[in-house]
Amino acid sequence: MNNTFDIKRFELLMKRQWLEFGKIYVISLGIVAGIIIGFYGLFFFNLIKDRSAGEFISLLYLRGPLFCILGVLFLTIAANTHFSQLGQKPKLIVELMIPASTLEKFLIGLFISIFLPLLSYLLVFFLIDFTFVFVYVSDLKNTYYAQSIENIHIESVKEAVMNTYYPDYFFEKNLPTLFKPLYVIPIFISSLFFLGSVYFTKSQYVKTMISLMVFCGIWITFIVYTTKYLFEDKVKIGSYNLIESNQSAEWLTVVFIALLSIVFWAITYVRLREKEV
Amino acid sequence: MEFSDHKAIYLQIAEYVCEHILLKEWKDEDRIPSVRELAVTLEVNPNTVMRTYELLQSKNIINNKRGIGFFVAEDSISKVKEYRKTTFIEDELPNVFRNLYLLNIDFKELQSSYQVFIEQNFRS
Amino acid sequence: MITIENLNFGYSKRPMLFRDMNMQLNCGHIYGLFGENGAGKSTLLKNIVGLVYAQSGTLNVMGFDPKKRQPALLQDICFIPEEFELPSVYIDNYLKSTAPFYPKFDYQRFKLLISEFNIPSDQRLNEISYGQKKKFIIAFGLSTQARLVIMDEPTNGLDIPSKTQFRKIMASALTEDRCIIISTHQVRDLDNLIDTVIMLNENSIALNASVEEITQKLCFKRVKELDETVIYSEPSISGYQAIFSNSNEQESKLDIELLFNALLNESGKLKQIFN
Repeated sequence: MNNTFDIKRFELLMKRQWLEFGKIYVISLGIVAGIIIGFYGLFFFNLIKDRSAGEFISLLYLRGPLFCILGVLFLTIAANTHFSQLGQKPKLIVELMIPASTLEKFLIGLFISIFLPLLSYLLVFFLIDFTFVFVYVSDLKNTYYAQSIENIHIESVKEAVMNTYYPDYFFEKNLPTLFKPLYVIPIFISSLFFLGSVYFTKSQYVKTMISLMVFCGIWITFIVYTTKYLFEDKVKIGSYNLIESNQSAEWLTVVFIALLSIVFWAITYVRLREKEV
Repeated sequence: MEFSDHKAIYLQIAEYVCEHILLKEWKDEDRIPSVRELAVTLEVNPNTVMRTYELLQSKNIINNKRGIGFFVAEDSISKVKEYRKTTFIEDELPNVFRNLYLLNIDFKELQSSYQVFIEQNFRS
Repeated sequence: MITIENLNFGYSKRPMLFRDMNMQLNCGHIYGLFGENGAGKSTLLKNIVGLVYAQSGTLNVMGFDPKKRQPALLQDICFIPEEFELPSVYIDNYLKSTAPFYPKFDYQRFKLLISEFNIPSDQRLNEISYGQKKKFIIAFGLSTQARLVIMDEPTNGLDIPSKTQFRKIMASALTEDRCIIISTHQVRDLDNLIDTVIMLNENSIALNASVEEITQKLCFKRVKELDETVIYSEPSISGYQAIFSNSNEQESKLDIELLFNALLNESGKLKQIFN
């Protein structure tokens, strides 16, 4: 018998997770969907009422922040939930005594704390977003263009909407290079909360949040002071052309954050293996 | 079953088995409950019942047919009586004697009360 | 089945709980684990199943090191902790989600035990009473057919009929390849189920002897007067409850409570007799 990893036991763990917590997970995802729909619906309602493009533009501007704030909240809570139960002794005993290896338990935790929430959140958000945009586009076709250009194809209308309002978060292909490191950040933050859930034994979410703030504070101070030390009175300020946007520096950041996430996972695994009751 | 505090459990179980044989609930050559069955009935450790069965086997009151179970031996009643007699003489009589001595009870006095007891309980 | 050698254990920032502990447990027995509050009964059990890690010493449980928490060992252990929590699911779903982890799981036996214990199946497991939860995990644990059964205060929270059922179930659960360890304060509940007594005292195993061995070496009697063979005595209504050294091979019934008190007060005398 393989005592480190067995795909059948992994499946059993997954099934167990689904049977015991699937319902709660679906409900929480439903709440997220509800918030997004509520948010979009409000604008859509005004839109139908006024038939002005202004409302739609403000929606397009706001869905970015909505996506980020709701996403961070959902991901951090999800990342923190699974192993937080282990803070309670009785639950910890039950979990530790389940005949599966620590690696399997860890991987299940990783999957349902980080990857599943991330994927399901993106899916839910995109589905709702696409639906609303699509409905809006059809509506647009009927009201604005129908009279003048009767035989216009829906695709070209869509194109017109895209070009007019720059919904660059989801539709533009040539995203600004500056945003690339951001793709790793959700995983990074999740990893931190994932670690926090195993590291602390009580009120893990709050403690992780405080740790994150302290960490960010130290990091910002560090950057401010080092750049001050390195560049003060040495670099001319005011001209943006002096320091060119450097692709490799950004990639370095991405790699660094990704590596840090993996380090967090490793620590989480070790902590889980050494967890005592 | 209520166990008393004064006697080892395995001996009390032996008495339980003997009682069943004397009352003819378990007759000669009958199969008696397995170790596990009796342990469950009496809520005791199966090892204790095993010890009882080993004791009764050594007294030829029951015998073990390998692979089938335990059976009441032939002529079990007289063997039970013999066994009970020895345990009575060894375990209980010393106590009686002790009280007889301490309370200055005469053997004649004892004999007459024994007769009365027999009359009252067994001759009706 | 279980071998403990030179085990040293203490929780961080607290004095050592076990010093140089040695113990050997075999299958085919029901062990009763006794000790004062804080003597480390639960901790010893947790060491055996790998829930806590000792500072030094070796532990061998059915050929495994419990510290590694390997599935092959875990599926052969039934651990009933004193405190536990069940998820908010019905019995059917719990069975579906957890039983497949145990390859030897006996569904028929589970059904039988559930009905013997009168556990309701139309309520979620976190909604039934403490006693019923306890009966549920005992039924589930025994159905896993695990060879090592460890129970920490199993009769706590059980009502009177349930205690009777529990004793019957435990009597039928003992097989030749099984080792059952029960820690308890409720001596009377389990008196006749235990065939070997383990007592914890002074950071170590003070006694590990079968009931047969104990009653061979000691005689438990209620007497009017004490003589020089007495080891320990407690005054009672009609004289004394006392333990004597058993020189003339008298058969008596083990009184675990009395023995335990003797161990606390006369540990030196008892050590001499048992070593």
